[in-house]
Amino acid sequence: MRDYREYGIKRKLSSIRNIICVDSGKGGVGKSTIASILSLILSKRFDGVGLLDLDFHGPTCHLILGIPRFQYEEEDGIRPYRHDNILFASVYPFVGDKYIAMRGKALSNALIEFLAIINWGDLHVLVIDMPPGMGDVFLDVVRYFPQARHLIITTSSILSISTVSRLLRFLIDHGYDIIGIIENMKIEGLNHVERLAREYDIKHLGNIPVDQQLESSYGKADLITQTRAAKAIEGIVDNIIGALQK
Amino acid sequence: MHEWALAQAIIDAAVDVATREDARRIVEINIVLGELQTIDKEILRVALENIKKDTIARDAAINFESEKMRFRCNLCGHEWGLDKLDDILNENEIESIHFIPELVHAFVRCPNCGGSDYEIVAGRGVYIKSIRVEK
Repeated sequence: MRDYREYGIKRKLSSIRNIICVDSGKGGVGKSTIASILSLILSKRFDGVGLLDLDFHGPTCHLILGIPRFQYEEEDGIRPYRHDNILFASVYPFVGDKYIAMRGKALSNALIEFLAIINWGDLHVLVIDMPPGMGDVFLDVVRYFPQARHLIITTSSILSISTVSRLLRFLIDHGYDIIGIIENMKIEGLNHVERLAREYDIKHLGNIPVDQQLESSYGKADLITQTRAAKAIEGIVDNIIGALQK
Repeated sequence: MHEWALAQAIIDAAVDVATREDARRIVEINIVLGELQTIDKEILRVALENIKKDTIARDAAINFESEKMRFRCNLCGHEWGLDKLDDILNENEIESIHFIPELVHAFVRCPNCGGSDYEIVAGRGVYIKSIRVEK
C-alpha cells in the first residue's frame, strides 16, 4: 500500500498552478538568495506567491528576507506564514538554530510529512529553494512534483559547472522541464556556462554580478530589491514568467 | 487542525486502494499511532468519522493501535524508549515533533553516548496498518 501521506501531498498541491524548483546540485552558488529575491519580485507582480525553503540542514531564506521566527497556525494542516505578499514555509520555525542530524531515510520521511501538511491554498506560483545535491530531498521533490520547472543556478567556475552538468543530464534523461540556467557571481571572461547551455540546448537566462551590497541587505527586503543582484534577477524574471506560460 | 489533514489523507488512501480492488465498501481501517507524534486520537477519530461519511468507507470501523517509541543509536548501538516526551521536552519542542516526528533529532540525544546519530525504530507516527474491504 502506498504511503497515505502521498495522498495528502497531492491534495495540498492541487491548487498550485506553477512550481519553480531553484536547484543546482552544487552548494554555495546562491540558490537561496536567488529563490528569495525571485519570490520577492514575483510577489510584487502577482498575488499567490509561495516560497518553500527545503534546506532542512541549513535553512536561510528567512534570514535573507528578514522573516522572524514564527509559529505556524493550524488550519487543515499548517498555514504558511504571510510575509508581505509572500506565503512562506520552512523547517526553521520548528527548530530555530538547533542542528538536525538526520540520515537519508529520516530526511525523506520529514520532507513527506512536511509537504503533506502545508496548506498552501490557491497559489499562482510556488518557488522551492532546493537543498544542494541530488540526495533524498531532491529525489523526493522531483518524484512528488513532476510538473515542476527547474531553474538551474551555477557560478562561472568550472567546479560548479561539472556538478551542474550532472544535474542537467539527470533532469533531461528523466524528462523534467528546465526553464534555463542563471550564471551567478559572474566572472568576466569565463564562458563555461554559455557552452553548457549550448551543449544541453537550454536557455542561458542571464548573469548576476558579484554584489558586495547583498551582505548588508540580507534581512531587509526593501534594500535587497535595490541591489545590483536583484536588478539583474528583475531583468531575467520576464523570461521565467514566459516559460511558465508555455 | 493538523489531525484533519492526516485524516483526509488516510481516507483518500483507503478509498483509492479499495477502489482499485473493486471493493464495494470498506469494512474497517486499522491505524497505528506512533507515540512520538503525540496525535490526539479523539480529534483524529472525529475527523475520520466526518470525512468518511460521503465515501465507500462510510460504515467502516476505525480501529487504533498505539505503538511505543523506540530509538537505536548508530554510534554506540544503544536502544532506548521514551514513555513520555514532556518529561524531557518543552511544549514547543513537542509541538514541532507533532508536526514532523523526525525533528526529534534536534531535541533528543542518545542517553548512553550523547550522540545525535540515531534511528527511530518504532512509534514514529501515524500509518495505516491494514484495511478490510467487502467486494
